Amino acid sequence: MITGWSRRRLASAARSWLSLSVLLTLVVVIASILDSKSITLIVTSFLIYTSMVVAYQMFMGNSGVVSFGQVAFFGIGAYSAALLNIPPEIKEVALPSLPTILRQTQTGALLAIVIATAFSGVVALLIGTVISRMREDAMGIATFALLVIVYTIIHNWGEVTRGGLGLYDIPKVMTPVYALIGLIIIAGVALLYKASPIGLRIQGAREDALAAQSLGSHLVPVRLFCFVLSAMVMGAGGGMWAHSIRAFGPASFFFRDTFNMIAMMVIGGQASVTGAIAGSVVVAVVSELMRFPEKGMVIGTIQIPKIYGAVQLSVALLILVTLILRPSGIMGSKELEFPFSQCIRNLNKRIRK
Amino acid sequence: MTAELFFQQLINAISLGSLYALLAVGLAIVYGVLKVLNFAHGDLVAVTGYIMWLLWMKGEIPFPVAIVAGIVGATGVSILTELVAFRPLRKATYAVMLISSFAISIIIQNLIRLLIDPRPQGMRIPPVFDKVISIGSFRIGSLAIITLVISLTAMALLLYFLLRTRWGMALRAAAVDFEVARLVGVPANRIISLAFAVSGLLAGIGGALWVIRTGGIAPTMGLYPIIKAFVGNVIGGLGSLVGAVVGGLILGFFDIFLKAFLPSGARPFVEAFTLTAVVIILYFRPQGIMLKR
Amino acid sequence: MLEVKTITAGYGSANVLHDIQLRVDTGEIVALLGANGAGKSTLLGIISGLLQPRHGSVWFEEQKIDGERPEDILKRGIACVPERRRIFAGLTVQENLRMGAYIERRKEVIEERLAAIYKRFPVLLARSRQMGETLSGGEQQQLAIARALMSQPRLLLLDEPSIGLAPNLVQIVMDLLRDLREDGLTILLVEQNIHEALEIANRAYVMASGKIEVEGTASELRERGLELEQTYLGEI
Repeated sequence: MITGWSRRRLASAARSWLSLSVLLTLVVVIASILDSKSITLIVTSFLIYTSMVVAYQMFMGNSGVVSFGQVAFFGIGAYSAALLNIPPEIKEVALPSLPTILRQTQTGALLAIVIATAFSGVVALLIGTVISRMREDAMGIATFALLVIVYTIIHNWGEVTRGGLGLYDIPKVMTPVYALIGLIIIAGVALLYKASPIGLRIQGAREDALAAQSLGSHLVPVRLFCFVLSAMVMGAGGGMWAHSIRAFGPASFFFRDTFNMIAMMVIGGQASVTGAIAGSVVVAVVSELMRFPEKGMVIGTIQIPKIYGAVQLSVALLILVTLILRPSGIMGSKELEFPFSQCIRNLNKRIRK
Repeated sequence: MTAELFFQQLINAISLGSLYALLAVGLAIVYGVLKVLNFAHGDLVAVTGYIMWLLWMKGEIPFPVAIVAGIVGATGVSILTELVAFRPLRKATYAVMLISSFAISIIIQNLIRLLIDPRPQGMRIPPVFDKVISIGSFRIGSLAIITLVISLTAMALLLYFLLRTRWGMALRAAAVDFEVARLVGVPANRIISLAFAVSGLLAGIGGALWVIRTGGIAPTMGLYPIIKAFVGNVIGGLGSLVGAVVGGLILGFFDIFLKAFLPSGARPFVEAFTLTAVVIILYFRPQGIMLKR
Repeated sequence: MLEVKTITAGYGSANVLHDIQLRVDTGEIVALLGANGAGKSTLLGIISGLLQPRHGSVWFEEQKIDGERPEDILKRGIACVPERRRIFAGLTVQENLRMGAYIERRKEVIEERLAAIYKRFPVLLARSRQMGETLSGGEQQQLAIARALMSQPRLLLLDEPSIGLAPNLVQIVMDLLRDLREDGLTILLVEQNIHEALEIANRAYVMASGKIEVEGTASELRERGLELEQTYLGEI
């Protein structure tokens, strides 16, 4: 049951890619016109975060396996890239026990991110060989264990990570444009994978347990590939992220982000790259809105007390409602596709008149 | 390591292991009927803890009453979560149910933050749990003994329930073959609610012991209990109650003896070691340790 | 006794059953024949309450029963012996039997029924304390039927009881069904094994691709035996 590349699927994926790229570019253009520092920050961080949601979607959406551990690679990517690119003067002071090579190098952001991506891939390969052999129910826990293991290591390996104190003075290189390029590349990879023969294979196993069984032991390398690819992109996202905020600590890569990203995928549609992006928007908006009640507000003369947990409560309820009413999410498994050729044809007709 | 030290650590390991076993079995009961690992199970520990805290620290209600109330509360919340989240999703896929149990877990944590208190709190533990009992040259903590006794009693009662009562038999049958259980007349909704009730009860007892052991509560305190319960189940073999018990015990041994033998620099990494060891076990035996299935 | 009227049912987007009409009169054995995938199990699933039809209705003793829960249908007197036995592993033979009488709460009644079952199935008495899964295929089939009988049904549904059994064991099962009919039980028997089924049935239906293709008395169908086999059941 070996399918090859399908021209139709590739064309469809290309159209989706173009559509998404156009849409996202538009967002960045509008943001740059508005020219506000806070908006620039928001857009950059949104684009980078969304890149990671797409990375997450690459695994969960295609394989159908719930993973609680992809965020571990966000952490690995972020720390790797940061350690590679923090200026040596800072590293001498903050991380004296770091191996000399690391301490004295500063590779520049791009190389740092590339190495971070590769490193994430290696780690994912090692762990993935174990995980992809497990049965589906155990995989969820194994990925959860992965998250806890990585967090524990990062939190306690003070010589390398400064533990709870976190890293600082990472060159803040990411701009909305760079983030946009990153996301466009990542979305392209995701869409390409979704349409590829190996992607289709794992989607087949997702749909039908019998199909999964007929794949038999061939399922393992397919799952492994999916896992490693997703982890690498996640690591890339982490690397970008590290270069967008100057300083961070281990608390970032744990439950909260796992929860947020799963929410984004579920609400937007697990099986769709557009869904991951759409979900990212929805959850970001809801979170921002709910931040007000969480901090307590004053409406006129009425003081509304702080509603602790308002943000997470709303998002969690949103997940439940989505799962009960529309489990496939906003987009289902469909991608955004502007009918470009149609538009061009219509345009041609008008020009000829 | 002296013989005394080894023996003391052994008792600690069995005691902690029995607590983990209790938590793991609770999870396994729901897994049996729904075939999904309920993330929110760990948060029932938090529910128990907060009820105990409210009554004992804030309300000056006697500790035993607070414990009972905590256990009842955990049971009630468990039944409620089934009604609200799992029942509407009865026909859903495994992945959907797992994610929704995750969402429920977050909801419970945040409801605690919202309705009770968002900050971690300390609990004053009655001195009876703090005593040291000397047998010859061996010194054993009363907490270890109490934990062991209560966990074992709870599991023994569970065994009695499962083996000797009509509902227990129905629960076992439903875990083996839910559809055929329905065909012989077992009411689907009620048996699932029962599973959640039993599970909640066990989580409540385990939760009370956990809180007494750690002396504090926090909204996110359910994280480690659920990890232990998850891992205990997976090591022992999903779907096996005995496996869950064995898995929990093994985990207890790992935790105590790793802590005892690791150099102090490596101590913070105990969790990571344990979990890595688990993952390695699973590589060689993905179906878990138990021989059946 | 049982009437199935224009039942259409399916999973997802496809329909598995189309406009099924079927009748079982009291005291009969009716055979429902057909190849794999013909939809026979689905129909039993609908009658026993595990599945819901999309159109049509099921009537039992003049009462509409489609849409009811399995436990309620069981209380009306319809019991099902599922395909491939599906006895409860991890429970003893005795516990399996007790589960069969689950809807009965009076202890004395359950004990009486148990005694009667053990009389009819001495091999189960011999193995009463063994785990269900340690029984042989033929014994498990007896256990599955005995379990269904524990609820004292008036109509018994059986899904391919002869599957995976050696011919002599199949004979034992068929003889048992004949005896049960003597005792007043009505039986709807789903089977791929047409010869054996037609030996004991009063009437029969043949299903293919979710539709009833042939219906008639057992003797009528027996005459057409070879032709039916080839047309509707492929090669057995």
